[in-house]
Amino acid sequence: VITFGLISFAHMHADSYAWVLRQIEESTGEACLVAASDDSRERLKSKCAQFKIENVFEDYRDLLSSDVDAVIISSENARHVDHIIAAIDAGKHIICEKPICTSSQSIAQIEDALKRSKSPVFFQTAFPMRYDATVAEAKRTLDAGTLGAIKAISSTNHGTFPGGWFADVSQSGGGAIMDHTVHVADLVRYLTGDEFGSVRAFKGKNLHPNLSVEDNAMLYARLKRSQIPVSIDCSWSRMEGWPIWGDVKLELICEHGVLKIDCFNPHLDLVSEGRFSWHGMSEDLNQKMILGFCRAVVSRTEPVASFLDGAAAASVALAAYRSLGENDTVVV
Amino acid sequence: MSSTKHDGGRSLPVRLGLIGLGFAGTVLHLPSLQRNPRAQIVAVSDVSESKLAEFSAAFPDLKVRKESEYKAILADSTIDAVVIASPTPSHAGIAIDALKSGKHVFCEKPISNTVGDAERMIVEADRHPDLILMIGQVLRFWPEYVQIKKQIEYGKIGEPVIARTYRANPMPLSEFYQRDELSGGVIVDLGLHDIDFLSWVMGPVKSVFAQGGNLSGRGDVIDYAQIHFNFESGAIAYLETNWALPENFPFSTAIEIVGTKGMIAADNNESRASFQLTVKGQKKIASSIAELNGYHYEQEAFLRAVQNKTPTPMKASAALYSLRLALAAKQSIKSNKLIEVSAKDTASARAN
Repeated sequence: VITFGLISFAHMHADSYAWVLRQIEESTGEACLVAASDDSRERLKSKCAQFKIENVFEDYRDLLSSDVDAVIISSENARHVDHIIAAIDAGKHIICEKPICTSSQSIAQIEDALKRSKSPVFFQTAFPMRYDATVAEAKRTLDAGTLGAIKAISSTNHGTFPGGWFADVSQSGGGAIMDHTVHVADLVRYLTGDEFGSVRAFKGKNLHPNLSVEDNAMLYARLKRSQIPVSIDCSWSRMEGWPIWGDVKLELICEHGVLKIDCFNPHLDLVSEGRFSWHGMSEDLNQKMILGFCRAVVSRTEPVASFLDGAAAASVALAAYRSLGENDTVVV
Repeated sequence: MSSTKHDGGRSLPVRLGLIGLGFAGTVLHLPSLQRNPRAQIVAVSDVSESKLAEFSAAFPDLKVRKESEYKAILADSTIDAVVIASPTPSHAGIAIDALKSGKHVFCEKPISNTVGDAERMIVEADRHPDLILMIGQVLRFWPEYVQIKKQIEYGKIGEPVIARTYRANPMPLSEFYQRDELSGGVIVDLGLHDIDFLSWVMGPVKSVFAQGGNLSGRGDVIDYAQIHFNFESGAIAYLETNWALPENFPFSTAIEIVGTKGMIAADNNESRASFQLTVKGQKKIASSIAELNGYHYEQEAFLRAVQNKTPTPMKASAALYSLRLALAAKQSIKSNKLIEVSAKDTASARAN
């Protein structure tokens, strides 16, 4: 059994990680959530009570001194780097919420920490879409080769403005670009086996004009080897009343065909308490991801989306901000 | 909108010549024109003998004069108006000749493939204030798109600020589509629909960026494009248009406009058809009714304007502006640069 500590409930995904860990503990018993830390004393108290977490630490460094095997880092984006480096230095395995960090300096610092670490640290970037059955089918289909070369890709990861610290650039590192570029950027890398070469970005503050960060943006990229065009729509352009939080869609134009995936399309129509929504039919991807991570740690193999994958995807978002600054296409 | 004070069957039908018997002429326009009591097709023309022969075989009951020269149609003083559905590069010459012959002109989109030709058409139309020059930017008449425009005007979604459009169709086989000097490629021929619609709904465009190219290896055209619009208002749009598709890919269109208070979306493959006919042995399923589609409504607008001597709801200069935006997207693909739309062109668009 791998014991987990959870560093911060700042990101809303923390709740689902805690819940999933409890599920795993009760089903396969491969993992167990034993500790948590949070800056907010009140949040820490209520979440630990809710999820019945025994060891409660106000300071994450104390959590890292305890005997947990692994940590899940779900703090504000800009704080990931400190938490990651401390966890590496403490020899803990890591699942880190995306984006793993908000500057290229941070990426370099984490690389250094991994290099100097004496015991091997397994690092999983929280890219649960890699565990999605639709994505897996797309990967198999492309790898089979019958579609021929990929010629162009368009993608969306629409979402709803999350509010709170996501709107504070000092904590989030940016707006919709920072929040929603990385999932589809990772899927593009995963499906093509190629890297991002260059990016041009455009942004707007169209739905929440008073925000300090962008709420909608488009990225126009070229991949490194193939030079194929890739568009990414990372906008927080979904809202109250729309039947689903957002989407993850990719369309790949290939030599011999077209492959479209729309991961959250399977749904039931549901009306509850006067509100219409799409009730999703997809699997619990966080559960698959955490189980996959546990098995990688046990078998001492690289997790499905590693630190390098997280860093490569974050670099696309960072390049988009550079493109906006220079008002031109930039190299990733 | 034009007045309908002479409606009610009191006006005589408009006597029409149809120039160009390709896909646009025979598939898009003829079926709904035939059913429209405001229209009477008197003559058709095509430079191709084989197109004329195909036409006679396909429409054996249609008693019309068949000409190989469009000028024979223009010489007929009993003809009121022409529908130009010939290849794009011929639009300007035919439209100008028709206006000079005193005919009203309905011209299939794109207005032209060059700005110079389009400008010459508009200059000629300005010389004939009594004649109508209407360009068939059909989305402005397509029921779903008309409703999107209306709901935005009613304030249902607030200010439209983020748009995405998608328009994909396998590149048709004829050589016309494969040659840039003829069709102008997928942006000018297909993407133009959404370009025109968005400029209508969201206002003047400040700058255009695009990437894409020839993905299919067929011809010398751009057959795939990802286009970005920065609007003067600060709104942005992503437009994707694609011919680089296998021949069995369904014709697909989608649009989503997000506003400050809501959003509105349509997708042609989420069928909302009221009528669907599947015939044994026929691959195509019929689900379109000639009286309910955009071609009918744009013809109706044209014919009504001719009968009532009222302006058409859309000025030809708006179609020129859309062409400029399409050409800016092509230019951006070639240069990999953001293309600023000139203030003069934007001012002319605002006047529309």
